[in-house]
Amino acid sequence: MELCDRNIAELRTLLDSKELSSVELTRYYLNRIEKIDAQIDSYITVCADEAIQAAKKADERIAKGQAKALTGIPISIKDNMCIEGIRTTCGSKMLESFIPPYSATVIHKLLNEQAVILGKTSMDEFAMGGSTQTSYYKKTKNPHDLTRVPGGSSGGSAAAVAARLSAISLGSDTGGSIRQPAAFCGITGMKPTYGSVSRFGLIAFGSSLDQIGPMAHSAKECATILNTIGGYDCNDGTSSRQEIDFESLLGKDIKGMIVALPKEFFEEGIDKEVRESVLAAAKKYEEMGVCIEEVSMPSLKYAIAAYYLLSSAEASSNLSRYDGIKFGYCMPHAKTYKERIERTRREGFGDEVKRRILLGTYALSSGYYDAYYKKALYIREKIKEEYNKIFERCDVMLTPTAPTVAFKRGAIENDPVKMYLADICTVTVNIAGLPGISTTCGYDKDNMPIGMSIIGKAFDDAKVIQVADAFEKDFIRKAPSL
Amino acid sequence: MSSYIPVIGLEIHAQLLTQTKIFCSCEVDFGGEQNTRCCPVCAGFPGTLPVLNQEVVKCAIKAGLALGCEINRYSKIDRKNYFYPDLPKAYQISQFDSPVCLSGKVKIEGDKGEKEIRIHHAHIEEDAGKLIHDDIENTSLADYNRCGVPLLEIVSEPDMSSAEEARAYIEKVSGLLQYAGVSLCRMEEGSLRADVNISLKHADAKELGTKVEIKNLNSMKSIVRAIDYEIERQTKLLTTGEPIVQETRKFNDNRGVTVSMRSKEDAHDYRYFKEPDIIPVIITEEDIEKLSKEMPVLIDERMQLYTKEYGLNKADAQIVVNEKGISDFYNDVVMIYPNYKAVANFIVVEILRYVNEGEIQSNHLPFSAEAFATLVKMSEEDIVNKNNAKAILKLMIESQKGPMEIAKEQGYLMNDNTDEIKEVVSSVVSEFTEEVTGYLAGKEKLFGFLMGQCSKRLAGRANPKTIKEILEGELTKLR
Amino acid sequence: MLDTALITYLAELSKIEVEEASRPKLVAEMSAIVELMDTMNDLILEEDFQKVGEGVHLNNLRTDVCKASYEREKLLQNALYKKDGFFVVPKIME
Repeated sequence: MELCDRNIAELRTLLDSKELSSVELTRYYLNRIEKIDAQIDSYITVCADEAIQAAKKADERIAKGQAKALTGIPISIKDNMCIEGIRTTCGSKMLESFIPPYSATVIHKLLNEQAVILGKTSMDEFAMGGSTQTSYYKKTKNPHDLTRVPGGSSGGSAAAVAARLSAISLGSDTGGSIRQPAAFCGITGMKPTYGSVSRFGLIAFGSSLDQIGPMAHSAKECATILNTIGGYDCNDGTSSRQEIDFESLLGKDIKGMIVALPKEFFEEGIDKEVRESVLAAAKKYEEMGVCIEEVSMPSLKYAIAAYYLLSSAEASSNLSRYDGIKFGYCMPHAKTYKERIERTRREGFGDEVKRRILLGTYALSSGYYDAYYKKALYIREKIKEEYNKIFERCDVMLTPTAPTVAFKRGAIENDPVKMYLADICTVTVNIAGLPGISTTCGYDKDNMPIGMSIIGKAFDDAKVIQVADAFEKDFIRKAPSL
Repeated sequence: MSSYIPVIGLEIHAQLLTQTKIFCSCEVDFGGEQNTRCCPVCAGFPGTLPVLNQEVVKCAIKAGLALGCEINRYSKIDRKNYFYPDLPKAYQISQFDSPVCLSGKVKIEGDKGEKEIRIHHAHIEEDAGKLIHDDIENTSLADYNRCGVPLLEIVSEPDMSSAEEARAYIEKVSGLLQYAGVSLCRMEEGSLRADVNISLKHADAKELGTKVEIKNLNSMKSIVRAIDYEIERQTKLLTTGEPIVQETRKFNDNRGVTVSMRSKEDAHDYRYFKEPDIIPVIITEEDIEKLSKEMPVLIDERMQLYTKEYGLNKADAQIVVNEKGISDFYNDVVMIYPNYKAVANFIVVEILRYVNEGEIQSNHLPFSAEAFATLVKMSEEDIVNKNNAKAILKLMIESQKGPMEIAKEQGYLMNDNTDEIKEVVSSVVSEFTEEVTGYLAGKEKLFGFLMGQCSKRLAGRANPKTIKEILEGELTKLR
Repeated sequence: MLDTALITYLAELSKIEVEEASRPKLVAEMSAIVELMDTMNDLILEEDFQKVGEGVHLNNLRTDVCKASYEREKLLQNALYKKDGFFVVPKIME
């Protein structure tokens, strides 16, 4: 078995038994990146020297017998999480030269365990997109078919994990940005409950929706990563004090559970092959002794509008700080403040980011607030209510992760409306702050992976992982041929 | 007389008395070198998050209690969006529709007796940074030290009708906040600022006139001058039939006029929405009860004590009470020397003169209550004369010595050594023979002249009564 | 309806320069997006749907304890224009 096909539990055993050193493992991955990433374009920045240094420290710690779950494990990080001293671009020209003088809380937690950070992965600019083709830097390709997109916005992370260019990765998910690329690249990705992982150091997009989460080859690995990065953080006022042991239900029988199938998620707009694959997975669950129950989420038809209004409104405010004065791109030689800021923002932001800022500004501006933003808040409440009702009876909900498999590069990513509609399966989870995990449930006729999502009620993350893990045990994934 | 009635409302921005800023753990301190009291959070760096300081909310609740406000049980934080280089995030974290303090009221001594000024609400928010304009380079220099300094914005109803009432209201609010221990309210350090809304209403009209806002007034003097100027300006416009433009103006201290801020080219649309990074705060009955127990004596209770128990007149009592530092000091002094009126009088006339001139600070007086009590007592008991008592106070401020020590050094102690007085009197009588003759001839006024000569030579060391007796005796002998 | 005037206004509010020439295209794009948002037009809001939601208790907020402020050099290191420890801003026109 190739080293890169080993899961992190197996790597842990190899490292702890000294059959393999973290430095060897890190060099191995750095070599793969050097050889393969030119085809994939998953990394914006590779931190080779820092990684080797970190691996050396990890080996020292392992030698003392003090290894933690992720000690010495090579990981990649989406380029919207700040690492002190390492350029953090958020996929934007605006932050081309930004070197944060601080690290995100998740980075501190990884480094405290001596995990090895290989580099920063590509993403849609400011995490706004589902294709990673709006990145100012690397327009990442899908490892299963280089003519297709890897999904997004955490497409660099998904592709890096799928192409075995890092063992695991961290992504962020505002409206599906972990789960959709995980589905497109045939891996597992999870957005945990809002507030369970600190957002400190994550460059904000839609603050009430953003969550950092793991991307890996299995639900089990996701649980391990979450146990390292999760937990209360006094630097994030929305961080939850409720503790979650993400691994606590792994391997426990799911027999007797009720899994909800919301009918609106299987109607028109969902590709036939995707629908059939997810329904086949539901059958498999039934065989495992789970009861499938059809449920309804009538507000789904408003979900896209609500999501885009809420996220864009917050983004329009969050992205106002990029004015060329304190950090980031700065249009030089401006004569006035107005010229400095308006030119800087025109040249520093890409088209999609500008559209979202304009949409968000529109939704909040006087005269339009009631028609847009307020209605979006209303839908948010409605969706929460509908989820509450479903979870009164059901343990988890099962949906497709995306209406289609990965689409061809250049097919729709330049059509904002089509791109927005493609988020229909994932956005309600963020709107309601729930945990959702995407895992591969099949392949289409072109051998492209199909993803399904397991959604649970808030803080039921361990159950969501348990249900995904139960499916993954008997499912064989296809590795991309590179 | 003008038939227009000024309608004035105030927005007071008081800095809350906390150790750290409202959303990060940077120390709040006056001054400091540029950009040395900030961090990535208050400078609005990417990925950073605001974390609300509980002391800010507690101070706001206490302030609310002091201002007679209803405390909101569900306090929501919002973003106010606008671009300006002193605002690094390009939004100010503030409160829009669910502030900590809801309606309240304070009583002031108005133009026509006691008056109640209603408070619309009070909310917490962060201060912005400071810009220094460099006219040579044509740039502005941004210092973010004040970014994130916690403020309470107290919005009054338009219940005042003169600059004097506005002043009385500010003094009252500032006193209440100082007493509640939630703000130092030092205008000179920027911990109290005010925006003024002002319109004129025709005496017979029901509806209000067009409102003008004067922003960022940071001294009592400029508030009063700005209001007076604005009343005059608007009256002139109205009497000549010109329209008043609804606008924001600023007060030019040097010229003593308000000038339009030219509603900029920017649109003003603050796009308020709920701050997603901060969870609303739930304030319970127990929280309020606990905080109200921590509240020190309130201003009205002291006012009662001074006027009813101590017998001070209302005006003096008000002056003593206005500044908590002064009132605390007064209380300490009368504990030692319970001559309430004399102590109050000395404070109102003498100490506050130095305070107003900025030579001393009301909450850091350079002498102890004991020393001051001794001084007032010396003056009252004619151990030193009144003028010398004032001189001693000046020297107490300058030298930090005790009053008795100063009196001795300066020879201010009253000297009832009659031998010395007699000696001086007889030398005066023998020197000013002409005046003495005149007096004896019936020019009674000349007695004063002779008294003055004696007093002068005795340099205030003798009790005038004694001098008078001896001088009279001496002159009688010559009759 | 979204028109050039409204787009110009929004661009001004969000401080993004939009060239005259690219405005029609932007209006078309934004109109299509807003049309998608208008799927909510048929919604009638129930009164007071914004209930008193989640909240944090006073004592769970940050305690008022100072931490050392930041090194000024680190704070300024990402700024293109700085002088004597200040961030430099071009002239503000009012």
